[in-house]
Amino acid sequence: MANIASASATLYPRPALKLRDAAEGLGSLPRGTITEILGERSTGRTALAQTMLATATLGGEVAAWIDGCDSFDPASAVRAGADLGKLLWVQCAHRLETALKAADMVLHSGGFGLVILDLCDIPATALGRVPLSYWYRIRNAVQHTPAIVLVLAKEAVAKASSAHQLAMSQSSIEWRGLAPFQTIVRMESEAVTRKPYDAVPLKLAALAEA
Amino acid sequence: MIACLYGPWPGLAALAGQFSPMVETAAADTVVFSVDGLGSLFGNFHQIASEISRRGAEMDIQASLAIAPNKSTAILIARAYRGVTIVMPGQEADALAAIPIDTPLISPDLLLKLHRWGVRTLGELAALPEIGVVERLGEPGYQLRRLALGQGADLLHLSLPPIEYTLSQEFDDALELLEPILFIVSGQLHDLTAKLNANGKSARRIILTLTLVDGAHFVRLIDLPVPMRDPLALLKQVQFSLDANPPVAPVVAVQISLDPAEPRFVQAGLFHPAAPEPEKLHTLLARLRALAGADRVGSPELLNSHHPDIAYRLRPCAFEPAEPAEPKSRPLKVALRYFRPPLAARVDTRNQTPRRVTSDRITGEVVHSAGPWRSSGDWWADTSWARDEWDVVLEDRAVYRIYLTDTKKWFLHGSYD
Repeated sequence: MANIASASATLYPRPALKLRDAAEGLGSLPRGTITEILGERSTGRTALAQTMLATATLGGEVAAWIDGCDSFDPASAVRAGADLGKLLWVQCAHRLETALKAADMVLHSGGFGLVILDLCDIPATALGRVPLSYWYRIRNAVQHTPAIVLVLAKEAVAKASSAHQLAMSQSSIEWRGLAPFQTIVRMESEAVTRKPYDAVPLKLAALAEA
Repeated sequence: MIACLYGPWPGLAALAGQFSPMVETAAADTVVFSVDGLGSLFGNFHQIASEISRRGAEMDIQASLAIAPNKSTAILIARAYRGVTIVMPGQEADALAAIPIDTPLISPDLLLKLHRWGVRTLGELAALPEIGVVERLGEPGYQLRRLALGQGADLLHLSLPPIEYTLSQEFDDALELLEPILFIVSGQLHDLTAKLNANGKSARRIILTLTLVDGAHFVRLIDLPVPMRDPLALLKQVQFSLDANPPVAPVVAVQISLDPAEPRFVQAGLFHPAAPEPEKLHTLLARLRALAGADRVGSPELLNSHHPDIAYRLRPCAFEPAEPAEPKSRPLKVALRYFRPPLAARVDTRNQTPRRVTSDRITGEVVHSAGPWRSSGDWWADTSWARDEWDVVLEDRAVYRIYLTDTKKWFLHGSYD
């Protein structure tokens, strides 16, 4: 594994996106590009995105959450530390085209430091029908701006237009208490940088307590 | 040279306005205006005074008129002497010498001191030694002595008439489509914003009045969140307003008015992150509302409620610049993702424990479950709820929150992520 990592580092420049930094904040997330956070349900995609939302809003930046399926939970975002006063939330009511148009409008309006396009619950068939020109347009809109576009989805959707991809997978769930009255303590995940490729995964743990 | 009209007649400002745009209404019975540059029109100052008197007589105004090198001298002379008085440069002190010091231009406490000193006229005040006056009365005393010498340096405080920002246009043929109407409105907005710009103002509100073919008036009031004068931003607001609520009949005339306001001054911090410009943000929100729905765009705000579905509300966005907090490491927190609306499901149970979940979108065997937890509230309101909740892990390792209502219906509430 170490050989593979060093070989990739030789062939390609070292990834600008470091997972540990990404989990802790926006410090190393590349601006002016699209970053995809991919994974199935309960893999920590939303927890990671909400932590980045917290870092951005507390850093004084204005963020937008384009919610493809109206699944955003403001209370969870507050627990993650986000300042909701710095957040624009657009509920798209399961309409993919609305979500893409809204993201395009937000990016062209300017001034947003973080734009999260949440497509996690959009069916893969619908996502697969999105023309690549849509993603190309979003990439052009964010290029040369200080904004970060995060796309949350099950599978890669932006294709060549995304500069970075994180693939999340669930490792374990820790429960507390006597069955059946148990509560979740923490959910552990593994995140792998697919693009640019980094073979060494990072373990992330999301805590359930406030 | 400055002219002063004094007298209890209305219309003094109108009379002064016939001779100069630089008019100050110093008091209800006193108007001051500049007569510089009138020589080429009327001749010397005597002829100018004669013309002012003639026009005053036409308006039934018999005010005292004084023309002097500065404002304070003109006011003092006009108040002291009836008729027309002209004071040429260098003659101010002589002209003022006999005037009593009991004038509104001098404050009551200074007047009291001067009376105690035995000073009764401006000439006696001017004769006092400057250093002695300054030692005893300070800066006000110095200014007062200069006033008495006719050396006041007061500037005119112009009282400008209110400026109207209204344009209207009638059409030969009635217009049915919005596009040609907006084309006309665009031109009007460009002209009005240029006028605003020239006067250092911005617009706070747009009042659009469309005259319909049946003679009715269709009025739209568009309040702007911040003063703005960008014609394109204003046009967008008009467009969104008309798109949302178009006129009910063809339009034969359009009138647009802008309410002027002081422009917005923003001094952004050098190290503050960029934020959306208010003008662009307002336009963006209007577009997003048209796209997603009026009640689906905004900043979320948590309510003081434990209601599982409506514990928040959306409020209009207002992003104020704020001092960024110190960056620090933040642990990830498990997030809940809602299913809105909740997914109806069929849940097979054994010993009151969920065993299998079946719904249109999510189906699977339960490999782990925790619960039930009773949740209820708002029993006094229409928003009351009562349910038993479980956290379940399905065979795909995803964790869901499901609940059973009192009417024995199962729903998938959301997933943990």
